[in-house]
Amino acid sequence: MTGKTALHSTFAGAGLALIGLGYLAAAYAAPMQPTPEQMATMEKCYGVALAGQNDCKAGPGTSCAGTSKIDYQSNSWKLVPKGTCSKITTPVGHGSLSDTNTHIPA
Amino acid sequence: MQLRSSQAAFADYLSSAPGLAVPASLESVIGGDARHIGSRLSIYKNNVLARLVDALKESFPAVHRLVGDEFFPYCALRFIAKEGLSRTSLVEYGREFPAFIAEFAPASTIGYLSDVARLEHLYLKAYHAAEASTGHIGSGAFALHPSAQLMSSPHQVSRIWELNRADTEFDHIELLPLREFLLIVRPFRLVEVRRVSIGTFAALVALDDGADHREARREALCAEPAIDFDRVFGALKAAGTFVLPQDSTTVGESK
Amino acid sequence: MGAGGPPHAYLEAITERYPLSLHGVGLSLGGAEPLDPVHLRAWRRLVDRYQPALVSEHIAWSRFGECRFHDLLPIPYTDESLTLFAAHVEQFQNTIGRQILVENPSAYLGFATSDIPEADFIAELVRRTGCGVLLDINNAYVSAANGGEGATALLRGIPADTVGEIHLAGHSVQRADELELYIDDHGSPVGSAVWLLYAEAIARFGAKPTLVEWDTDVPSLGTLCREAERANVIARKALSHAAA
Repeated sequence: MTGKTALHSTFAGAGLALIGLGYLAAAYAAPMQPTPEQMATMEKCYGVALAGQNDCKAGPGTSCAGTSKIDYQSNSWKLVPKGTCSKITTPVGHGSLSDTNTHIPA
Repeated sequence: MQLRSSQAAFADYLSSAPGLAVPASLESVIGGDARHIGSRLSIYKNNVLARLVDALKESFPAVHRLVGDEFFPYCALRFIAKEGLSRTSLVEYGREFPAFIAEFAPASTIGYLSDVARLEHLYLKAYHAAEASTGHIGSGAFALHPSAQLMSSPHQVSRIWELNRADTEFDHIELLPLREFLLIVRPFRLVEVRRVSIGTFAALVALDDGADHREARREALCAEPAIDFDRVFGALKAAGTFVLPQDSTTVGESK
Repeated sequence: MGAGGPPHAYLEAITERYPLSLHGVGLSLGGAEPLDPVHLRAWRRLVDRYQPALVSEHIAWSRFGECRFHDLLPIPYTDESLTLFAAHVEQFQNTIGRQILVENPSAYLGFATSDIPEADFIAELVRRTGCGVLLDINNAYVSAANGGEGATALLRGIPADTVGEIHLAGHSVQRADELELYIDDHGSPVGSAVWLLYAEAIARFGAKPTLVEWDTDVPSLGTLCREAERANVIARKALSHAAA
C-alpha cells in the first residue's frame, strides 16, 4: 500500500456507535456506551464489519459459464413483490404490494 | 468481410426482443439441421440476457431479497428492455437501475426501493474505487477518499439495507419517519456505510464539491447550528474519510 | 476488474504465495472489429502489476459496435477469421509483452461457412503467432456433443508441446424442440466422459496446470478439494501409464 496515508479507524470493532442527533439515538439500541467522539459524528451500520458476508456479494464478476434457460414469461402484470418487503412497515403504511392490491397498472 | 456481416447479423439478433424469428441473413451462415437453428441460437440469447439479470441480482442483493425471486427478474428484464444491452462493464450496467425502479409502476408502493438500490450501487462504486494515494491531492491540502460516496434519503434506507443485504432472518419491523444522511467509504479493506448527521453531511458535500476546510465548516454550521465541527472533523479523519499528505498533522485543525 | 479494492488485495495476496494464471473473457479476440484499446491498456496494467505465470483468452467474440454481450460467441473457422484472429493475438501479445494461451470454445452451433477443422485452426494459430493453447476438455466434449467434430479429434490434432493449461468443468443437458443440447454451465461436477478425456490429454500433453471451473452453484470447499484431488490422481495414473 505505498503512497497511501493509512489512518486506523477508532471505530473498528466498536459495534454500534451513535450519531449525534438525539432523535436517531432513540431509534437504535446501543450495545456499548459510545464515546463523546463517536457521539459527535457518525454511526457505522451494524453488520458491515462482517467482511466475508459482504465481500462475497460485492457485485458481478465475469464468467465463461453458459446458462440453459431464462424465463421470459415472468412478465405478468399480476406479479407483485413477495420478498422481505412484506415484513417492513413504513410510516405511510405497508411497504409491499399484496395480492389483493388492485392499483397495479396493467 | 463475411465475418463482419455475420457478426453484425448475430449482434442484431442478440439485441432484438425475445421471441422474434431468426433473420435470414444469420440463418444462412449457421450449419446443421435448419429446424434447430432457432434453438441453438437461443442459447446465446439466453446467456446474454441471463448474465445481465444475474449481474443485477449480484449488484443489488438487498433489492432482490426485498422483492423476491419472481419479481426481481421481471423488473430486471423490463430494465434491460428499456436500457438496451450492456455497453460497459457488468458493474456499471446497473447505474441507471435505481432511477428505473423509481419510475417502475409495479414497485411504486415500495417507496424506499429505489433508494436501497441507489445505496447498493454506491456501495459497489466504493468497493471497486481506486486506492487512496497522496497523488490525489496537492501539498498541504486534503481530499475526500477516492472511494467516498454520499447520499441522503427520506427513508431509513441503511437500516433496510442492513437487514436485507445478508441472508439473516428478521422479524417484522416498523420504520420511523427519519431522513438519513450516508457516507459510504472504503478507508481500508472494507466498505463502510456510515450514518452521519445533517451538518456532517453538509460539510462532506461541500468538500466533495471542492470546498476548503473553512467553507465546509460554514456549511456544517448552517445545516446544524449545534454541531461541534472540530470533533466531527477529527472523527471523520480518524475514520479514514480523507486522503491526507504524509505530514498532515495540522491539516483541518481549526484556526 | 475495478481500479482498486478487495479484488486487487486478494490478487496481491495470492501472487505472494502462488503463480497466477490470468484468464480473460472480454477482449473479443475473434471480433471483426478492432480490439478495444481501453481493454488492452487495462490488461497491460494488470500484467505489469501481477506478473502472472500464464495469461489466457478465448477463441470467441463478445463485442460489436458499442455492445458488449458478456458472453463467448462462436466464430467460423475460415481463412478470413484465422487471419483476423492471429492479428489480434499478435496485437495482444505485443501489448502485454508476453505469450498468451487461447482456449478452445464450447459451441452450441456450427457455421456453414467453416472449412477448417478446429484442431487445424488452432494449430495454425499457434504456428503463426507463437501463442499456446488452453485446452478446455469440457468445452471439447460439449462442442462435440452439440454436433462438432469430436473431442478426440481435437485432442489429437493440437500440437503436443503447445498446451500450457487445462480446464475441466461440469455441463448440463437441455432439451428443446427435439434437440438435445449440452450446456457448459460450470455448475455441476465434472462428468465421467470428461475425466476419461482428461486422462488421455495428460498422457498426450504431460502434466499441466489444471483448473476445475465452477461459476454457479459452487459447492463446499471440501467438495472442490476432492474434485481437485481426483484430477491429481487421474493425472498421476495417466503419467505412469504413459511412462510404462
